[in-house]
Amino acid sequence: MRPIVRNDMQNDHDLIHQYQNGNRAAYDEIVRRHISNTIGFFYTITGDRMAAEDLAQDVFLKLFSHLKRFRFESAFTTYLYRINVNTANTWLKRSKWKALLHLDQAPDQGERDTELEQEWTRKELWDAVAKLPNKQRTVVMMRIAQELPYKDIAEITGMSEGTAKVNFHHAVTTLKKWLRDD
Amino acid sequence: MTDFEQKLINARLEDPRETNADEFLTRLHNRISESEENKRTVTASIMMLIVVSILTMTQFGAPINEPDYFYYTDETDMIFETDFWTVNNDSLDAYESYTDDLAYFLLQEGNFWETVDLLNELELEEEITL
Repeated sequence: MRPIVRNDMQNDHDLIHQYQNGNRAAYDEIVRRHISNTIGFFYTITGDRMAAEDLAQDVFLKLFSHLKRFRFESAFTTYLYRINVNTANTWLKRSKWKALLHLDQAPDQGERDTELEQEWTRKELWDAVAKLPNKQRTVVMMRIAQELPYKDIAEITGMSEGTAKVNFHHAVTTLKKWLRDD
Repeated sequence: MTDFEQKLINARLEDPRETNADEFLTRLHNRISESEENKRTVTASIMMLIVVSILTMTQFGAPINEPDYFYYTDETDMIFETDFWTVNNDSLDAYESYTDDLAYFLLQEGNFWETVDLLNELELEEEITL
């Protein structure tokens, strides 16, 4: 996913204003603008196109009601990233429980990337991410799935840039240990 | 950035498929309609629950403290010599009432012939008294 793009902010805000004034077409336009990035973000985490689309639907459904109360204090993308991350967090926690209770019917082991000669799969990676503490998980998701700079992560999560870096460092160390990557 | 961090970032999956925005929006609008419908149903149910609760509490408009609608039986008359206010009464004064009750009780218990015997006995007793 692309970093926060500032020059889109004005247009997004205009569209939100229109939506708040009752123009449903403006909402559709907002969805069209951000649909690819949102699905892409969830696809990276889930590895499943259908699941990614369902999660994106959840996000835009939340937006439909919450945008009416949007206060224009930050860029819309920051707001959207926050909802994306919260939705992904919920999904990861749920999948962690599902795995624990063996509710996932066909366990997807993922494909090993032979080019990178990794000892772990994408599924193993995200299963490990799901076990991280909340703050670390959030930072990792934004760094890995969205490649956001620390400055943007700090803005979205409300933590300082330094805290974001420290959390990412701790998360990476833990993941390295869990995935036994030497 | 360490090698491991780079590996993590390289583990990202690029979505190979182009998103069909129209199809996505159609599904989304259906879900929005469903969600709004659900909200309306929940609101209506809560309202209904409140109305029924209020009606229950007010007993569906039944007037309160209307003694005309009720029939009171004062059974203290039957219990003689057991309470302070009837201690001086003679149970023999209510003998008829007592025997009637006894007969009803026997009938309720299904002791038909015993009831007949009792009534015969009472009749005989009455005749002897006369």
